Amino acid sequence: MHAFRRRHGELTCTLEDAELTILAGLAQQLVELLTSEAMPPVGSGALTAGSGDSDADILGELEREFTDPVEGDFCSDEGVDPVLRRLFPDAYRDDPAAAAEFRRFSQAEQRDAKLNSAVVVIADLNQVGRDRRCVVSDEHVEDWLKTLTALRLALSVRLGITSSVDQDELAELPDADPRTTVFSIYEWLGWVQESLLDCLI
Amino acid sequence: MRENGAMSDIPPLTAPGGDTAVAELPDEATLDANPWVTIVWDDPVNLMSYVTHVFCSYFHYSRERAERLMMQVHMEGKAVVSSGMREAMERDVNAMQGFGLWATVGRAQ
Repeated sequence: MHAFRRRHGELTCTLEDAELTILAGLAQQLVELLTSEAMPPVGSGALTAGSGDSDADILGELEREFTDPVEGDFCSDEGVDPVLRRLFPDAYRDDPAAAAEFRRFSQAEQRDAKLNSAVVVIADLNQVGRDRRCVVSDEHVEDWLKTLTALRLALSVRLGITSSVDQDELAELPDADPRTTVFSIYEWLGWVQESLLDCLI
Repeated sequence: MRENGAMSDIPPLTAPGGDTAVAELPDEATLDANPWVTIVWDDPVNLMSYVTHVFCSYFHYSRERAERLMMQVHMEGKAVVSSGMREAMERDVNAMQGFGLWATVGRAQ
């Protein structure tokens, strides 16, 4: 891969076929995770954002308010994918009730935003042609930065990274270790993000 | 936060997602009047340059202030990045989480 650089007002990089496959595949997995059963219905964030006003939306929202447990055990619920718990952390550290309340009115909107960003990245990747050039417009840069972050957070959970020491240990693993490939993808995503950030100077 | 290369000069990218006018007042002066704060916690995943970028682009902090806060998160494990009314802090935390940063709402000390 050639790093992102600004050319003729556009941010471009080149992606090898394998890199394109990996990045698009991870973004697609993120979309599937964000639309899984543990999450609120897609599009329901619009109402909490104050822009939805149809009767059906309001009824749907009311139903969710009455059926969703307000105790909000999302972050301790064993059934919730730990990646989702990492992507939607408690907003109150020592107040589970306040954290649950915050999640109840913010999670659908936050999820919709993450979903939109991932879809933008997938669409940009779908435009990559035979010249392997990937073009990211200024309007899409934040979507890319956020999605790359979400993917790194997701991989960090799968790799069990909770400290910088963990990362140093992963870097020392032998090539045969199954985590080595995942860790190299995690590091590569960071490199892609760094090259994107460098272009914003 | 993940160590990375020399920190680069990152200007604000977009219009602010949050209208946190109170966040632009000097910290000490606002703490008394604003009992709530947004805290960003250190995590081993997010790049230092990205965290600085987020503070610049969302809060419209100067690069110097954003870097100082980023380094405080990195070295001390956390930093107060804004203060104000509770609703405003919840908006800021919502935005920080949207960027993938680990942020919480807290009481001003």
